[in-house]
Amino acid sequence: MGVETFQYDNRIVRDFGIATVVWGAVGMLVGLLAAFQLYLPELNFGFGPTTFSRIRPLHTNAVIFAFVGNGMFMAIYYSLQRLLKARMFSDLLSKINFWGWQLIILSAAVTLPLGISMSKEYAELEWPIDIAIAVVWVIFGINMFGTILRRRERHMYVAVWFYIATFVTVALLHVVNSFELPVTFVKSYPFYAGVQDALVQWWYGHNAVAFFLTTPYLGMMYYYMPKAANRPVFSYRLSIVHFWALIFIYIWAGPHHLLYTSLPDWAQSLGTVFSIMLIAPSWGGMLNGLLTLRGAWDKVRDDPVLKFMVVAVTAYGMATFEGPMLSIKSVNAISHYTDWTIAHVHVGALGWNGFLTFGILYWLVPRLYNVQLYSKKLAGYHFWIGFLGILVYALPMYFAGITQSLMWKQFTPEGFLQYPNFLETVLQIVPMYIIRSVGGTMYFIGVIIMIINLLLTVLHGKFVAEEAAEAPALEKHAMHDGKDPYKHRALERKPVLFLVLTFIAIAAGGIIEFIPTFLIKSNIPTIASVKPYTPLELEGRDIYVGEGCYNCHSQMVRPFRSETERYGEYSKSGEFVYDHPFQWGSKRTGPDLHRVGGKYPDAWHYNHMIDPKLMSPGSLMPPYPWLAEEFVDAEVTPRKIRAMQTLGVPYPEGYDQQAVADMETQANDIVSRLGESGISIDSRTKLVALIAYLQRLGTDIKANPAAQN
Amino acid sequence: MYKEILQSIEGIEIFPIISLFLFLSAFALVIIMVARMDKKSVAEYSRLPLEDGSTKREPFSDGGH
Repeated sequence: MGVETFQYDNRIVRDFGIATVVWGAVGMLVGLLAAFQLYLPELNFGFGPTTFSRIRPLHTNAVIFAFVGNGMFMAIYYSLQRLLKARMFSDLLSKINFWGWQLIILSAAVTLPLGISMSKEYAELEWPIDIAIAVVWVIFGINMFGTILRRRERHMYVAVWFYIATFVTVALLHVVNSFELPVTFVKSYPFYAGVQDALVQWWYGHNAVAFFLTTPYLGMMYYYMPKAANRPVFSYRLSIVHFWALIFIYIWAGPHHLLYTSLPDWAQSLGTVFSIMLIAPSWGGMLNGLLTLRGAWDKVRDDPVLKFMVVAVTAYGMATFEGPMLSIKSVNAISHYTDWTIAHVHVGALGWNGFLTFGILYWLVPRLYNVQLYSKKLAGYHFWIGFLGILVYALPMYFAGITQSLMWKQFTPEGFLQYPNFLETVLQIVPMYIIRSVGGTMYFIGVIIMIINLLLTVLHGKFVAEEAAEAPALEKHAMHDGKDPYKHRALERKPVLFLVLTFIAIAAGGIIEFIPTFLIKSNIPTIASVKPYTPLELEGRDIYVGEGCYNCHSQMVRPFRSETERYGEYSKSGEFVYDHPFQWGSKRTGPDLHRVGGKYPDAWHYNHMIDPKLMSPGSLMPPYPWLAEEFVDAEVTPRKIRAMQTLGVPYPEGYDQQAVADMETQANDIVSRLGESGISIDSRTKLVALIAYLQRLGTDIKANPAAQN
Repeated sequence: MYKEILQSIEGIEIFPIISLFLFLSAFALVIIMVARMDKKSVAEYSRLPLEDGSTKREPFSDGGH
């Protein structure tokens, strides 16, 4: 069999590379804005689209899906072709993948600031965009499998397995977490409610970290580290164990995001156990990466590419040690809802994803343009300012998280909360927020230096769009393969079987966690006094969801004395049965709101939303004045009621016809109460609906405490 | 409260056992397969990233200005 000549498609790699750099800078800049807003609320500009609660999801989505997403596609499109010794299956599919993904990012960048959000973290985008994501993702999968089937290299290198696992799992996660019932073009309700919704969301959220931020990047580590160090991976056997152990264990660990919540105890324990087991494969992988440099450490001293990679892999090791620790209930009791989580994710995002992407860019761009990197010195500056930036970012966040948590839990000798005013615990850590924003700025300056360096490299080089390559056709290998009894090798020869086994490995965890929790739905001790939301409250809830209040306020009082003292009765699973979607939140920059109903008069909420500082001097919450000017769209309300009925919320038959009238009655009550305090407001405004919702929150079981389970 | 919920699901106690069994058997299987790989193939596979079939000559050695 003769040697075949063909070309690698570098154009698609370059396009994704440009997108990575551009969106990366945008996403980080938005993150910087959010960081400054946390201590300078004026930077919210009193304007919806620039307000923290809408900006924060924009930042997370931009960094995850735009920066890391494009970085992943860039690195996969380059390495997949070379590992399989074949051009991508279809140039057209590559292009659709590229432009489709950019359009999705663009639509996210438009809808999230407009307050169009599902509120499920890292899955905030509304249903039309969800469908687009699924389509583009499948196109990527077809393109990848087409290439695998046409490959000229019999053995699929371990990096390719990680890419396959990424494709399968993200597809599954996205589909399962996006079961939603559209109401309008920009509004839908998830099928799941309360506890189930929380479990599915954090099964998704956790595994999005696992299979969007980790597995593709591990594949990239296994390809680009050997490339950059010019030596094979430390242990190929270890990489196989790493792969199967990691993808099998990761999927079970989702419930560790819900410790001490209303999620059933057994599911929480399962999450904890698997999280701790996860240290083993994660560290196996990390060591495999680091030990690849054995005997080449001298290169690390003067090769910026390797410097970035070493820090990336070390950050991976630190984050994957910290993650299991945070999954231990006693640690989680302190860390959860605080900035400790923010520190943890940024060690991963800035260190692991960011630095690996930078290392690969510095390695790849000169090769695409057939020229040397413009300046190693500048890359060195980028490394140091970025590295110090990570430290200056993360350390104050650890300090802030632990300080605030301990303040929340501190009692006086007499047995009262030492810091009953939540705001006090926030103002205490403002200096840490300031230092953090300095760290973020340093990291961003590093990125600007990189952009300049890469641009100058590109200007000095000549782009190699079609890279010539040659390899023998596959048949030649088939003969000597026939004698090999080695089983895993047989597996690698059958990519489709490989895909199925990967799917089974990842599906097992999800199924075992979901089935009992969904069975609970029929067995759940319904709390008799928990009733569906009134139409006005439902509208108010949708505003709460769209504005992104969950970014700073949880709705989950954990069963600790420090929390029941501060907020009231701890939260019960039966209280959330009509919550599509759940609003438990994951961070308390402001206090928990689950028991806020009836705590303050309507007028307090009115003034607080118009200008939080009026009611809480020194408050860092952004103002929401537009809520007093924009109207609730009452035409959609009946549709929302019908959608809720479809999802099983027991409104009486034909209630949709009466909903608007009921809504007006309730709104007029609130308006007249506000009038007594000298406040005049139109009853159709969003603020009135929001007040109705806030006043309802957590009050159902207060109405009839005997009905608690 | 959760105990009551769990008791009402038939056969719930088997779930953690299933998960442990699934994991251990998958893990054992992988270990056995990996142990049985022959040395030559492993070395060959691990060199795949370094031999990408490209015929482009890289005009640069290491480093920049």
